[in-house]
Amino acid sequence: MAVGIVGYGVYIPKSRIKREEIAKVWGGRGKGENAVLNENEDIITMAIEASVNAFEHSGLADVKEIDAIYLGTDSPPNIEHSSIGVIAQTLGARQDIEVMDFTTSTRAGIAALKACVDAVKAGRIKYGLVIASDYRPASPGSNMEMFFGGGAGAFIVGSKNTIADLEEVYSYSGNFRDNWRGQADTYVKDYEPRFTRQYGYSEYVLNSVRGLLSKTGLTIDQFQHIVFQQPDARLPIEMARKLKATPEQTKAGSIFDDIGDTGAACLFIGLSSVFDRAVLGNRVLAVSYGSGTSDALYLTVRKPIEKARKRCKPYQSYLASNSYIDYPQYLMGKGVLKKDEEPASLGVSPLSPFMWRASAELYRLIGAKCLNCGYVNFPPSQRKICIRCGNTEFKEVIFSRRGKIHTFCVNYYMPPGFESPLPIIIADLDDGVRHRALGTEMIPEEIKIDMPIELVLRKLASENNVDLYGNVFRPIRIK
Amino acid sequence: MGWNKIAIVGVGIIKFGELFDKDWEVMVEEAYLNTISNVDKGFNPKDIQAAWIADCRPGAHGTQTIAGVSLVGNIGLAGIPCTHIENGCPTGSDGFRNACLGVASGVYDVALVLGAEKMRDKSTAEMLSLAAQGHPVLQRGETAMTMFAPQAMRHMHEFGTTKEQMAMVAVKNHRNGVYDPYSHYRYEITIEDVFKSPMVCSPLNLLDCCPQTDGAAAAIICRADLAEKYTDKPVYVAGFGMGTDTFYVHEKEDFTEFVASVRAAKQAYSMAGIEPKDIDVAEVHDCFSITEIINYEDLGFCKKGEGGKFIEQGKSDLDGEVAVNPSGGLMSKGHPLGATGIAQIAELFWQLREDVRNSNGTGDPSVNEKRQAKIKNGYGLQHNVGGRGISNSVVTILTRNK
Repeated sequence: MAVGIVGYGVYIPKSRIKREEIAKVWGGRGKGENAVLNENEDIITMAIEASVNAFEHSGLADVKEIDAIYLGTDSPPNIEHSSIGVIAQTLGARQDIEVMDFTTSTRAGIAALKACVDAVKAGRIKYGLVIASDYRPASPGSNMEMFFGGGAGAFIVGSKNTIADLEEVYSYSGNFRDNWRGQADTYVKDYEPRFTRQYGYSEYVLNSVRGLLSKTGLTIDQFQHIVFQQPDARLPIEMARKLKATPEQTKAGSIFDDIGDTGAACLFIGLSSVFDRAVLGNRVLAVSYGSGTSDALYLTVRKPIEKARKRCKPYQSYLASNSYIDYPQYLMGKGVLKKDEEPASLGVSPLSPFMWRASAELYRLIGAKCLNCGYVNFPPSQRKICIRCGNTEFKEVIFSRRGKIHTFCVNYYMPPGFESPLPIIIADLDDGVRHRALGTEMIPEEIKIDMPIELVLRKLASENNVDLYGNVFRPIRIK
Repeated sequence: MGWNKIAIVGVGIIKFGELFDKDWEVMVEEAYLNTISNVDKGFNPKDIQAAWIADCRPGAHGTQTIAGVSLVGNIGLAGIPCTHIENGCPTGSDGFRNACLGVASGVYDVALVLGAEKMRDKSTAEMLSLAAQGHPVLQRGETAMTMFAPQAMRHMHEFGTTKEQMAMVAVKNHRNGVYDPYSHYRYEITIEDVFKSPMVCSPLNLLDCCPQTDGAAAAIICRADLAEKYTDKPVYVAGFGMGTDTFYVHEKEDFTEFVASVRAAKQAYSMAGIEPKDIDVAEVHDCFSITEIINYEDLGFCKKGEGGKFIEQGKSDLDGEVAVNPSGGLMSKGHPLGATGIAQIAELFWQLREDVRNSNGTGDPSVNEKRQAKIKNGYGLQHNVGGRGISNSVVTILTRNK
């Protein structure tokens, strides 16, 4: 049974920092740019946006068709506690699905993909959602700060209507340490690159590719597209040269200069960029690497990719939607630069039973539509009597995520812990539901009544290292 | 003929402001003493049979975690029943309403209602941190400003109301406040001053907003037929109403009005048997400049959408169609939540008796005279609106007509 990718999607954060901005502060030379996260983003919020895109691209009718969610990340917010809970609730997945976390390596995404393909092949699941989302912490002034970026990619894996099939995999691993982050470490560490590039990345990548070629009897020139793990600008070029691949073959999947080293998400985003332009019959080689392990994957592009293209939000559209920030803004986004003050304590802790009762409807935006007058009551856990007509019978509805601003304000005086200026938006969604939420990625002077907006999940606050998430409005980013 | 079952026989206010040197208890005592000494024919505290204390956020703002005893226990009246009322921005006026209901029930003849709020024992940052309270997602970031500013945006969008018109409200109320000895601020401002003041919450600048103020105010009420024991010039309660609306902002239907106010006003006018045009003087809730403009419409002083023109044409000036906020309003006098409504009632008591010059305050009588409104029909209207989601409002109509 051929198993492969039924739908794919990426998410690239809007903020970009030019590497020369970093070089201005710390010296050195910087070419290219990194995609970086705002303070209210993390690997969970990125994973959700990429997943929504992948689901829409797949053409599946209902999220409930998904039987598994596998997440690969090298930077989970918690060492103990899965990030999949928030993701699954926001997507509206079933609860009897298989969930698995893959981590501690920049190849965590590919490990998750392999496991998911196997689960479909074994017949245990029909459709699986595999997400790779990463934004690894780099110390200010380190080599890695110049390179690390954030992003996410997601694949719906299945056996019907695949846009690309995973034909063969070859893995090569050993005991090698180039990057690491201990439990007490805030930032990723690295060892002497002149040593680790040669005996780490190069050694494992070349061995996995050569192993795959030998296993399949293919030669490198038979692949139209090659995507390498991209920890810097140089190594993938070196690999291509050593493998006698042409720059043409690596072009579509090269993302490092645009968004940086996105760790576990790198190959997902690189592959998505390849799929954006690949055609029927193309062979694609994808090569992962993380601390002494490399997987070489051989995929072939299938016919459904053509029809699915109109449902796609291409990688290039995310690249085009950007906003450049300076070094202090970048540090604020990482939470490194902040005022020395205690944020206001939340009325309800993110750990409270309140959030347990309310999270599903708050993340997914589920309303209770009155069967008598049609008014959509929200949140349904608190509204058992229609506030408009007093009826007590309802139908569950899921809110449209797009709409137009009805009215708004921008508050310039927020207490500690809040973004300031803070837009507060009251909008009428496309389905007629009125919703109120904070705004993000908005320029205060540009907010107008009737402006089209969309709802996205963001981190609202943290208490006791537990994050509070909620939907916020942003201007529609990718049409 | 109005309801008129209750008479106000004495009122008292303390000088509002940043009273860093006064405990909550001291504010309460002062307001109480100012009230009983203000009764024309003298007053024996033993006549008070029940009391109501209005204080909106005692836990959040100050040292009190309040029960009724916090009032009577501090002014030597421990022993009589006392109830604590909390009801958002209309806390004071709802305390007054409940005291009226208590006396009108026939159980008590004379009652004291006292409102007090300590707003400045916490830093501004601590006060603003209320934005982290309430529903952690649906009310995230919600402060008073973020509830009223979107109304301004929508009102401007639908009716062409301008920032100049909003600023005119601030200018008028500051002008009136100069002559109110109890006012927190006593200086005039210009439209340009409003525009130049920092943007606080778009479209509202700092001078579109009322300040954070400490204060206390009280009133003594009695059965209307007993009023002559205390004064020959009582002011009667002609009617009152309280309206509510839904709780969350997303549940609101119309962002150009406060439906709670419309409902409260309807009840009050009906109970008083009068129409908006009969009102000579009004003390309305101008927590923000836009609020007063919308109040003109909600209270029936003008048609919906014409609030901006109403201020622009001077119709709410001291010598206009209806003198609105002769005290300087919340904007000038301040808005100590629990005290606000009762202070408005005190102002109307003096206005309707045409004796603002004799208000027992700290002011210069010749200056006080400059804020006396023309009293033709003998009716005054008090109004508050607020609460989370701007979901409740109290309107009280007072009259000097027996």
